[in-house]
Amino acid sequence: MTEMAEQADGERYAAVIHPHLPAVLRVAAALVGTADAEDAAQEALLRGWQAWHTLHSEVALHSWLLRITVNVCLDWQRGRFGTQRRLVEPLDTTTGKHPLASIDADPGDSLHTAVMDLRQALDSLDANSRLVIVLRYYAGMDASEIGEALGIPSATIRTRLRRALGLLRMRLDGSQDVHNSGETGKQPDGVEGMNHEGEIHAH
Amino acid sequence: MPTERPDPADLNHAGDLEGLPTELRSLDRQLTQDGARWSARLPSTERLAQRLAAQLKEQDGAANSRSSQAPASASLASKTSRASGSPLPRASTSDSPGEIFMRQQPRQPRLLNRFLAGAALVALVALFAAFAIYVTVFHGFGVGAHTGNPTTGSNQGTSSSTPFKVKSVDLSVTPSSIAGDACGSSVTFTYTVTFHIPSGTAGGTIHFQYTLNNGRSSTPASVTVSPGQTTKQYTFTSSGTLPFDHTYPSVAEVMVTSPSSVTSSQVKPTGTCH
Repeated sequence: MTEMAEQADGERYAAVIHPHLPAVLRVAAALVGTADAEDAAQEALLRGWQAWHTLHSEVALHSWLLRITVNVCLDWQRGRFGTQRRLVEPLDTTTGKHPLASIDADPGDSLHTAVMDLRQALDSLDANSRLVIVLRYYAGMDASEIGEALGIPSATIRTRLRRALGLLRMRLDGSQDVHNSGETGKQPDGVEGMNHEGEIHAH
Repeated sequence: MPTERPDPADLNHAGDLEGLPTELRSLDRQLTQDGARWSARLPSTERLAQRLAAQLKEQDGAANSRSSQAPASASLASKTSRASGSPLPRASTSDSPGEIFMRQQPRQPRLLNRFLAGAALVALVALFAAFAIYVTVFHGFGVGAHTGNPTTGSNQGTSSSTPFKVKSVDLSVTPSSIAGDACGSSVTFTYTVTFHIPSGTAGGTIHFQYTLNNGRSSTPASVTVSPGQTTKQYTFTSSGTLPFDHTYPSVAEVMVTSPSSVTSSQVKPTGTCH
């Protein structure tokens, strides 16, 4: 009887979270890359299962799962084996291992170039700015969900989003200028991507 | 059952960025489109659901094994609650409509439960003492004979005299070779970790990390071992495209951090794509 009940608990958890799997996988893919996304999502969902008794309202389930996923993925990026590299290295479009690195347009296509410029500019942002943009546009989270996940008021997230968009616009404009002057491949402003990682940790 | 949520990709998040200046609005659209295009290429969640179901089943099995032995009051309370015909364990009796309670919280044990737990413990100790006396009298001190039987994949008894630790860890990968595969093709590697535990332990949780890129990053994970279990397997996968520069797949390794520190051999599929 008890074993059946335990089994039913696991099955029920799997059933309840099933509609949220695409969102969890998407957040994981945006933060740790598509290659590691399933592993990170699985770890997040198992942690969710272990902490399931702390959740009292199904209404909060979606945000709760996303918060766990974001935390697992940020931990993942800070991992023991020198994963600062993952945060400081620029987008590597050849290996496809970096988050958001998979480009689905044909090389040489104008869309491909635009996407590459956009993602390169995104990489050049500071950690906080990049994080909010990645979570909103690539992980598909709204400001409230991002705020809950990071423990920051949603109004602050909106402010950061606006500021991040402004910075990204400047980077893209700078990139455009560099392209026009023929100095392709040079990072605008000499800005290193994700070099303010401590700002995230502070929250 | 919960209602299906709309895919966040379809949400416009209206109100998040109201009053955005014109020059940023086009960037907002560009990012939205790129995000949607990027997310459309993500793998389906079917495999994730299967992996999760397998893990939950495994953890349920381990939890059942533990709860059938441990006379903990929380476990007894849980059993009492479920045996009473409640369809789902409830964390509170004052739940309001629209609010569900997922799982039994550890509760303050009542006096009766404490008594039952104590009685169960005494009975268990008496049973164990009787067994020890029987073995000592009729079979000398050959109780540990089964320690010489390194059979894997089975329980070797549930005596908890042996400290719980990981003796060794094996790692294998399938497919073991990518020779002959075309560069640019997609592949999925399945890594199987086998933990070897001494027989006769009380079980516990193994915490470990695995790396798929020669230590540049690692993934924390854990598995639960039932009492007496001598081997435990854990599977993880890695999917990707075989690059022309042969940087993937890289070296994989498993590092057990608790209860003992053990490292597997390094594993990498042989050969290169062409």
